[in-house]
Amino acid sequence: MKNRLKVLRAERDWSQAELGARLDVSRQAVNAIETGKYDPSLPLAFRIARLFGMTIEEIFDDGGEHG
Amino acid sequence: MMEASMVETDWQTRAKQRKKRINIVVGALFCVGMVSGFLIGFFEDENVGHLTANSIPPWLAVLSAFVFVISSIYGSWKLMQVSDELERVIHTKTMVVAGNIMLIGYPTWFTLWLGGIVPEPDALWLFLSGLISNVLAYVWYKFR
Repeated sequence: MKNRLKVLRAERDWSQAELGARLDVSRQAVNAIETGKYDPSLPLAFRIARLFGMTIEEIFDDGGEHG
Repeated sequence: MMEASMVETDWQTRAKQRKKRINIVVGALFCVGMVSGFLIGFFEDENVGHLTANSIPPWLAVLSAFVFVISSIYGSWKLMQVSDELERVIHTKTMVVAGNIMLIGYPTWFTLWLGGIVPEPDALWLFLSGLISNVLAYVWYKFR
């Protein structure tokens, strides 16, 4: 699944470790999400969305059509 | 300027605390394993044989088994609490790999044994194959 996490993080000048700490996950987890190796759970996706003040759909793109 | 950069920020403190919580659990489990292994090695009767039946006193066998079961269950539960979801997913996947290796490995070995091709299946080797596959799967999922 594609996402804008890396861009959003860079805009705030946060490191992966800093974002991980803000989300209460490891730096490796942030890296795995950014590189598309791991899709976060729904609760974590909500935490990410809240942290950036956006909706989940604005950050994550599953490539599907929106009804 | 130097002093400002040396001040630990809130997120750095939280990251350190998170790491510390994980290290405490892993360290405690490591110590329990070391003490248990040391006691077994200390009380093992060399005349009976290495890792064979009746080679350690019954009380130590019961104590070691009890400590192993409790520390495994409690340790896993504590690790689940302090790990993040990626770590939990990786552990779940590696346990599936190890379980499949043992579940597929035993019948395969057993069938070959029926045909007289290989020696009788050995529980220790099956366990070790599961353990090694677990470690290899963990390394793969963690660092790929």
